[in-house]
Amino acid sequence: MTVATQARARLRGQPPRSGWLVGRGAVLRFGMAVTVAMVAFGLVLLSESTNPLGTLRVMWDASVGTEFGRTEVLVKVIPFGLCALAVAVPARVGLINVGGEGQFYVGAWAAAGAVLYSGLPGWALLPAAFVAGATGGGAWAALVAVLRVKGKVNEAVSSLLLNFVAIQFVNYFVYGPWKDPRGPNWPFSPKFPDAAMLPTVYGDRLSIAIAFVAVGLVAMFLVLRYTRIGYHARVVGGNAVAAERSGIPVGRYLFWALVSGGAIAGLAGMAEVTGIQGRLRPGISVNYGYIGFLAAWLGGHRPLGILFACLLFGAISVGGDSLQLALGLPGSTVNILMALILFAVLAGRKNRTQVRA
Amino acid sequence: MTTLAALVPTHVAAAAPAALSARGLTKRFADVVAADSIDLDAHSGQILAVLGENGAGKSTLMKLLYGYYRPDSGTLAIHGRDLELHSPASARNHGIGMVFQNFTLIPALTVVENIALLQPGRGLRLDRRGLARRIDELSARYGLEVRPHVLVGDLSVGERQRAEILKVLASDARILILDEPTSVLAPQEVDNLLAILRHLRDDGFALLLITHKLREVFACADRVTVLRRGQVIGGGPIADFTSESLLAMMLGERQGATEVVAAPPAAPRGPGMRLEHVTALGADGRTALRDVTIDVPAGQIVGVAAVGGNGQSGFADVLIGIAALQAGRVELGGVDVTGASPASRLAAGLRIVAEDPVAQSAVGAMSIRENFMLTRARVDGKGVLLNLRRLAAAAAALAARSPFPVPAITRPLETLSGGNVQRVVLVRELQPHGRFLLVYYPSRGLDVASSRAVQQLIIDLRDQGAAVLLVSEDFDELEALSDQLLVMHHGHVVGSFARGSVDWLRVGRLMTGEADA
Ligand SMILES: Nc1ncnc2c1ncn2[C@@H]1O[C@H](COP(=O)(O)OP(=O)(O)OP(=O)(O)O)[C@@H](O)[C@H]1O
Ligand SMILES: [Mg+2]
Repeated sequence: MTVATQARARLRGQPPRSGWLVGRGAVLRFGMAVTVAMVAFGLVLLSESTNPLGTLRVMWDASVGTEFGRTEVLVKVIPFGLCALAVAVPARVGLINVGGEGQFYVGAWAAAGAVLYSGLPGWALLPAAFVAGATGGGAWAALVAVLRVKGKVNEAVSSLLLNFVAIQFVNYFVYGPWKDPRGPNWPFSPKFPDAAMLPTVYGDRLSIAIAFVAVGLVAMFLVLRYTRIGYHARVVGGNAVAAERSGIPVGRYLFWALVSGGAIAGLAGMAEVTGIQGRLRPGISVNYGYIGFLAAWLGGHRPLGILFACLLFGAISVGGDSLQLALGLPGSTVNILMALILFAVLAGRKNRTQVRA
Repeated sequence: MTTLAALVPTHVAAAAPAALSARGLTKRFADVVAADSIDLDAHSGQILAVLGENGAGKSTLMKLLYGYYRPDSGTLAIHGRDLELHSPASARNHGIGMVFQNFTLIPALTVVENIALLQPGRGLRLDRRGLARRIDELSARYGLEVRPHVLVGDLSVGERQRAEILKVLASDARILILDEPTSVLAPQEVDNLLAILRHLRDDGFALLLITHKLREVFACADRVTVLRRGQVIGGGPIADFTSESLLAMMLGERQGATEVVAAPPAAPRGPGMRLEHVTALGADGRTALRDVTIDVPAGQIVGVAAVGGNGQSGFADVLIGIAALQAGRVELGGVDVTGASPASRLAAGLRIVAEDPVAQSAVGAMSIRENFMLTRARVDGKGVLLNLRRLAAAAAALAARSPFPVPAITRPLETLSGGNVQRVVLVRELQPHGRFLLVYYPSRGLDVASSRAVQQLIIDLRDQGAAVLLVSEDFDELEALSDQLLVMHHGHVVGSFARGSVDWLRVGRLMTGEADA
């Protein structure tokens, strides 16, 4: 395959980039796709001989319908939004990061390590956890980045495989060296001191980490639009050959985009252990990395789109938790809905791959 | 609908109805009417040439006929029967085939496998042997020489072009649409292709041919249709026209820019671009420069004539510094830059008009303005923030200075016609601050007036002291512009001629390897 044809394939394979936030007409198509997905989901529920309207009602009441629910939605936006950013940043230079899940775990692990074993004074614990989380996630992604830039190993595959490694890596610590010696015989790390818990901004579960999401989304917008590296990154994503011929160090952009993505996912892990869990344990991510992946694609890798996608998935996810209690359906039923929405949106997207002449 | 229309034909042609006819075809894109109530008839056993300036709407019209776009209004009829095309697949089912302006074969598959992709409903099994036999028959019958079991990525441009045509023929098309098939071919290959097209015509195919070269029109067309700004401006049997009358029709009021340009002789002005005993792999890891020494002094144009795939692609990556040299050195302005980064070579004034602008030097999803910025941003220094206002002003100024019209600079590049993409890249790279210019096929895909304008621009830059290395397959262009002409074959420079003493017969034989240096 020649460089030229690779470039052409790349030109075709990119998500649409016409608008800065969300594309023209996107809102309408988005709404229609969500409706279609809801109907399809209703059919799935019917086949489970459950009343679809009743189910949606339960989901609505549990999420958007009450103040508690709405706060819970925002609580979910923290991991979803950060994990989506972890996908979107590399996507803008043309890379597919499926490793959010693993980067999340390693970030959580590093943050927990900083809290529990650094011996720092209380006031320094959160800053240390922040730095450790970002570094851990970034370093995990750096493995993928080096393989991609130096060895031309496909980043989607390597990042996905490393997810399983990361989960086992964390398990090793919580079942072994980091297991709480004083606790019951569960694979839990010791509980974090209060000084290592993120302050809440609303209720007792929504932590300040929601600001990470806001800052991240705004920063992404500003960097891409107004800075030289943002422009260069978009050129790299749009046509790597043209970028290289324009003197842009393509390999460096690929590397740092992946590492930044990993660092953001690592922060999501840090926010989870210092904001919600208060300790490291197995299964701290409920597929956050993968849901973030769906949200990034749903949002077209653009900040505002990602925000909407995360709010939507947040609501679905919170609603889904209630299904189990109210109707005895498995909570993961709603994952079907999220996937259906993504498919519907991708299918409804205007076909932009055109043979031009 | 269809049955009624079939019973009462709306437009009965005198003798045989046209193989393919369009009435009132209209297609609007956001802010342009690319096809404006177009009427057109293509007859079996005839070649219809479709002419027009860049952006006139030729490709759009062909894509409407091929079901690639749905018209906003208007009707199509095939052999007198009304017909609605929903997709290229339905066009193929009705015997319409198209060879696109940019190739659509998949490089990682063989010719046979590519052709199998378009076979109508033969199930999942791939009858490689049967298909290969059919391909052999077709290629023997029409002189379409290709090696069926070779990967498309390994074929030469001419061979790939023939494979594209075979692909269409093998899907039983009787109406063939060819969008600028000759623009990527060397002169000998063009003659070869035109002979094939005439043969197909004599076998009763209906052919629609887009080209910017009037010579080709007169060499094979039976009828012409001329488009301007989306409208049919005229047409008829070829015998009714001369080059001049066709040009006048295409250009409308914008005449006068069509005299043949010729560079007056100029003296060299010191060191320019120099390759010394360079041996290097091409970007595809195959085609190589082999011990090439070329000196392009400032203030001179050195032309390179070569059949595609003989190493000339390698100049770009060697000069910009992406290809690793196996031997030799590169100098710009007397300074050794062999180990220097692409960015520093660009800063020294190196500019490249790429062989394939869309794939190698532009970003389809970005606007023209952002594509213009690619040069500005590299010239403008290193600050963290882009000075968006200044860049926008610079882009607007660039468009205003352009020797030919450039579409609105906020348009995404991917919505431009083939020729307009070429214009954008030319305007961006051929600016006064370029000191060392490598220019591939400058007039490829350009209409006559724009070709002249860009040739004049290259001469002006030379006269301002630029060193120009010009790779072209257009002998007239090479003759008019080159102060020195080199011929390449298999990665070697096999011939060198001074201005005024070029023996074109010998050039042709050197290019094909029939003559020794
Ligand atoms: N997908 C698209 N979206 C928006 N505008 C388009 C699109 N395709 C073509 N156009 C516009 O329609 C007009 C006609 O384009 P077309 O490609 O048909 O020109 P053409 O005659 O083939 O030119 P060329 O000789 O340069 O290939 C141009 O102004 C072009 O920019
Ligand atoms: Mg065209």
